[in-house]
Amino acid sequence: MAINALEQFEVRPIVPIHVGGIDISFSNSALYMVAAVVVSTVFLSAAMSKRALIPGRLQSLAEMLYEFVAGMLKENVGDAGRKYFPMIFSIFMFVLCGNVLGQTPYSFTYTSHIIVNGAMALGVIAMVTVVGFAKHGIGFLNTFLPSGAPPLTAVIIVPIEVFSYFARAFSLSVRLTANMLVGHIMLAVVASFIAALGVFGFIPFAGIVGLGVLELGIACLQAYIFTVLSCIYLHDALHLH
Amino acid sequence: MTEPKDQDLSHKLAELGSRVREARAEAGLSQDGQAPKPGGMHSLLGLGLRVTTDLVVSVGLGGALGWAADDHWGSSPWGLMIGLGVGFASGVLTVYRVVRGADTVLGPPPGKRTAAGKPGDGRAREDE
Repeated sequence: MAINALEQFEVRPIVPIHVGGIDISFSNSALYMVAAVVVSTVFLSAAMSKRALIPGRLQSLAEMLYEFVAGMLKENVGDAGRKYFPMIFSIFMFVLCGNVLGQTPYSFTYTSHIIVNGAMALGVIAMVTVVGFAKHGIGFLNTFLPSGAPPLTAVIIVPIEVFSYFARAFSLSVRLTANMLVGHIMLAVVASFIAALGVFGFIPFAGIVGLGVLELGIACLQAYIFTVLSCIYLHDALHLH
Repeated sequence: MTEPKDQDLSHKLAELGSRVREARAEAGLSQDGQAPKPGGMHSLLGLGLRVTTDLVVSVGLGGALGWAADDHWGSSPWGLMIGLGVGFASGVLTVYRVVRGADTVLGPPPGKRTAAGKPGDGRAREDE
């Protein structure tokens, strides 16, 4: 039985919707995004419904997530970043839920699609740019020319700085996509060996148990990296160098 | 009138705080090492992977943009060459900035000795 390792990434429409020739069907990708939002919302509200002074298990978990992101924001952005907490926390939960939900068998991982991550990364960069201009006005453009550089070198430095500013959106999304994509392909390929090897299938089976744990770790780590880089970009916009 | 009361209260609070710390330390629940901070080998690996992506994506994006410009204006091969050059320069710049905050070998930026990464904590930062 041949297994197509790429089949799991296929976006299939569940409820076909076409408006004016544009395909806006509700797909399995959209379904999992809704699932991620529902899971995180239900989990967080259920966990915090008691508001106990001495937290139970669920509440501890919710508080841990909150403090983790709050600490990350404080450490990387400082106190000025506190008002961006809702945005950063939403990004973290959305990516984390997408990655972790994608680890369940037969599921779809929307964070393995560059279009999803690209949209998120562009959103982050757009937000950071707006914040920068709102805080520093036209002076934000100084980001693209380090202070102390001779005016003549601007011809070379400004294009490179502008390019590297926008390349961050790409590296942010490519990193997350590549990690999720490679992990899932690897799992599918190793899993296909189990049936193919017959009796000796226990060897790849043992491997897939280990890989599964590794992938779960990577799922959490990549959510962390995506969020921490968003924080760093926010820091750069708030504090001009 | 209220001042001595406030002082009393803050004194009590400080005392409570130190007692809580003591109890924590006794129970082995010291929270010093629990900060979600990747350390050691793991974060170096993460840093390496991160920096690699930055470099590769920069060069790739520059090349792709240059190629597209060539395609559009028929300026081959200048767009590709300039694109690759700008991409490479920007990639190296990003890598330099990331690593400078994380590694003391390159030395902290002048006048920012406290801001950019404590020595040896291996944190990737883009403090500029």
